[in-house]
Amino acid sequence: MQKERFSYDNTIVRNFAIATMVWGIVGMLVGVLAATQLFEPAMNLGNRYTTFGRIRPLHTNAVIFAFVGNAIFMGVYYSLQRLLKTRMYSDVLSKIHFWGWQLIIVAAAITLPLGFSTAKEYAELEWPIDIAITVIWVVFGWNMIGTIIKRREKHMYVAIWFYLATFLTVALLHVVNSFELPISFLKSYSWYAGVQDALVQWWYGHNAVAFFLTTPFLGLMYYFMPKMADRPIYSYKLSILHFWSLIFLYIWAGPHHLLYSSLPDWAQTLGVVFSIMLIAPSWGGMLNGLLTLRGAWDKVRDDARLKFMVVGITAYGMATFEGPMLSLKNINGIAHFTDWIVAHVHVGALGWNGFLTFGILYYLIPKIYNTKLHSKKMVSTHFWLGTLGIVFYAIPMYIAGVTQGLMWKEFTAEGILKYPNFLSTTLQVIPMHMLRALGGLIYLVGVFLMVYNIYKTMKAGSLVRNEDAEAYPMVKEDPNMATAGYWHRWIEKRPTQFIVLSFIAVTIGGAVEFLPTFLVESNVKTIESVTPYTPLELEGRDIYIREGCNNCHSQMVRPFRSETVRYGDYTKSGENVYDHPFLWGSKRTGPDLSRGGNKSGTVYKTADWHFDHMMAPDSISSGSIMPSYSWLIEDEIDDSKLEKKISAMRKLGVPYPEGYEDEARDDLMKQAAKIKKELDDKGKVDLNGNAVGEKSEILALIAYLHKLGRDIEVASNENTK
Amino acid sequence: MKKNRFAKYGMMLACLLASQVAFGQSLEEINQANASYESFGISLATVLYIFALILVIIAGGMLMIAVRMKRYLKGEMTEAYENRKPWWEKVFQIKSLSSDKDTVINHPHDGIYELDNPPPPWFMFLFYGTIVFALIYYVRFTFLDSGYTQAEEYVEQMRLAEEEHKEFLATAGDQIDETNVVLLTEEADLNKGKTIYTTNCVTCHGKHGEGIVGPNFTDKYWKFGGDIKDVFKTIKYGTTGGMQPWAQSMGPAGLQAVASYVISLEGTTVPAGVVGRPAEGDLYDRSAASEEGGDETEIEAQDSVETADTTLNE
Repeated sequence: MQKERFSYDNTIVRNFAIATMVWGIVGMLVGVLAATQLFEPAMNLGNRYTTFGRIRPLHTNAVIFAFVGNAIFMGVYYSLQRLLKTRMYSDVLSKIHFWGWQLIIVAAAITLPLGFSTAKEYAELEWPIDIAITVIWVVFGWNMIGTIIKRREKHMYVAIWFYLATFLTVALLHVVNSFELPISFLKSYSWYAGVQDALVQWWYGHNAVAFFLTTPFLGLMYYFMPKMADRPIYSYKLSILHFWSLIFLYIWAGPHHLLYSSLPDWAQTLGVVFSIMLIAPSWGGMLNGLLTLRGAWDKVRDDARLKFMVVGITAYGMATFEGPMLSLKNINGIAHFTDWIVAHVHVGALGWNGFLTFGILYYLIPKIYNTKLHSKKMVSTHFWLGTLGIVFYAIPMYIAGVTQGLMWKEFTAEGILKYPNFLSTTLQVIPMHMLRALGGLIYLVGVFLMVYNIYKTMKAGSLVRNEDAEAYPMVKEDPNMATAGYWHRWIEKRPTQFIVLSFIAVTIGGAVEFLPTFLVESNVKTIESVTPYTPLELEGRDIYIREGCNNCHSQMVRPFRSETVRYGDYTKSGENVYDHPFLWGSKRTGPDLSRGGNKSGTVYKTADWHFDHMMAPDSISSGSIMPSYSWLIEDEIDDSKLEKKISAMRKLGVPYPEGYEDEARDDLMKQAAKIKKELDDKGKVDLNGNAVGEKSEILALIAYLHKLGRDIEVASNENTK
Repeated sequence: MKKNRFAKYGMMLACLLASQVAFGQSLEEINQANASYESFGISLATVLYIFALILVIIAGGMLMIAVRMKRYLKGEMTEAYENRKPWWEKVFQIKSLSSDKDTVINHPHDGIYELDNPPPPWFMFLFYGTIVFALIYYVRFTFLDSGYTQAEEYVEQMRLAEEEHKEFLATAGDQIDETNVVLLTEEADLNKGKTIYTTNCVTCHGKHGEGIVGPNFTDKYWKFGGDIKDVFKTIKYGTTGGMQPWAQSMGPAGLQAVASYVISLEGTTVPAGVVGRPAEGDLYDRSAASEEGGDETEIEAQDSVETADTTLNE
């Protein structure tokens, strides 16, 4: 049999590598800026576009989809061609994929600071960008599956299993979670409401971690680790076991983000048990990676690239043990809503995703430029800077998380909250936030060093755009493999069956959790007194979403004594039935707001209090790290879409009467006038000394904040009568 | 082989015992949920449990040694003893490098070889162990009564808190409420009040009591009465005007201190440049009131006590 000659496309790998580095720096810079704002709110640079609420989604999206996303594609395009002994299926598709993905990122970088957001974490991008993501993702899948079909290597290596699972599951997650009803070019409402929206969102959110940050990187590890160490993979059987168990179990674990929320108990329990069962499958990946180094540990001493891989894999092991532990309800009760979670995800992101990406960049850039690394010493310095950065990031945040979590819960002997003032718990952790920002900065300095090193390397060599290779055409059956005879070999030869089976594996968990929550009424108990938002409140809610308030304020009082005493009655699922999207939040940098409209409650604030507070939070709450939102007072409510919003909400099941569109604007003005009068009576004026405008945005926001929890107060009053 | 199975069951049993500790919602756990921020409270039961577990492990180890010693003395163990492997090798069973040539799957992918080693036994224990844990947890919390729902857990938490509170009241001696509170004038008490004021009240009433959203304290006008008992009550239960109830967050002694401090602000002058809020409410003549003795009728006092009770019960 004659060997066939062909070439690997290295240009696309280079392009994704450059994009990885550029977006990595952008994403991390935004991260450092956001971190700085958590002890020095003036770092929002005095304008609305760079407030924490808007750049936190920018940071997460940039780091996840731009930095890590491009790194995945870089590694996949490099390894897939070589593992299958063929060029990518289509250079055109590769190009569309590359440029399409960069355009999506640019669109995100523009729309998020402008305040266009769906408020769903890691899925904040609005519907036209969602569609673009779907299209480009399909292009990626098409190109990958096309390459698999024209392969010269019969058996798909374990890395490719992970790539396939990534493609399938991310497509599924993205499409289901992005169901939304557009009302204008860049505004839409989530198809789901309240507790159902929360369940779908965290099924997505959790599995974005699983299938965007984990499975593709396990695939990359399976290729680049043995390549760098020049050692065989320790256990093929372990690969099989942990691959299938990982993808099957992961999809169920989403509800662990909603422990002690108003999600039904049975779903929370599923979230707990599947998280616990995830320890071993996750560790399977770590073991196979680390045991591959067996007999090659001496290389780790000299080769900083392997140091990156080892620490990265270890960070993965730590984060995937910590995750299940955080899913135990007693630990979650302390850790949730605190900096502990932020530390947890950063061990994963900085350690696992970041370090693996760096290791891979240092490996493949010299290869495709046919040269040596500019400086090995600089790689080593980068490694130590990165490690130091992670330590400085994670440890203060763990301390901050536990401190704040316990301070929220502590009662005195008299049975009263020891720290009734929420702000005092925030101030307690400010020094930790400073150290965290320092850690992030050190890590970023390391990245700059890498970019310089790689730039010099590229300069020294020249890109081998089409790398020549040769291989035998695919044969029906490799006799060596036939003798290996392990049952799993069967499916490794059959991409179609493989795709079908993995699709089934990842669909079951979601289906079992979604269907009852959507179909069985008892899971969302109706509360009579809960009414739809008035037009003004609806506009206020959209302002709340635009400003990203949910990035710092939760709307979920958990059933703990420490929370009901602090905020008021705990949140029931029936409260959020008109919430498209839900706004429970996942972090309490500021206090919970879901009882803000409860007039007789402990957290109610008058309209003029809100006015002063939005104008200058620090003047009311000394030391507050919330920035000023003075533009809300000068800007007018854009109610041009009001009719459309009402119609859209009705379509989604909110019981506005037919024809209410025509009355909505009148109602809006009436309610606004009432709040304006309250402010005028107290002599409130804007920064220029003018009275509050009759359509000022602050009126809508106050109306919304006063709606939160008000219906529940009505309900409890009726019960006591 | 037989010994191996014994070890397996042993591990399984240990997993089960350990899993009990990790269950979220036992009674001790609820107590621990109230653990203080300065010191993690570990209940006596937990300590005893861990102690018992350690004892069992030690006893098991001694038993094993005894059995081996017996065999060794009988001469059965000599050969086995000479060739024994350390225990960690049995648990980890990481294959040695020399075995690689036997286990390598002779089919590289782009030069990457895979070995046909079995996953380490401890890993398999972990894998099955978590599944067993998950099954027990799931059955317990979804189908059996022994696991609380979170609503039940909350009720239990509140009941415990109330019990603790009753105990506290029983031992704390005389409690201050709006029927018996007296004005404090000692420097130390006022300072204590000032601290509470600075953390909680400045937001609305200003650093110097000049009034921002809430009323001015430096004038002689009081919206809800200027007597210590009235001020105490206003702070304790809040008002309809936007003042929140502080009973839960300040406690009786704190309320007394802060009410006294607020009254001490009356007649003070704020620093130049600070614009106070105009006077609201009714003029309160403190000197005249103190001569009268500020007594309240029996019936009113009775009422307030009842209010206090219902507040606590909620």
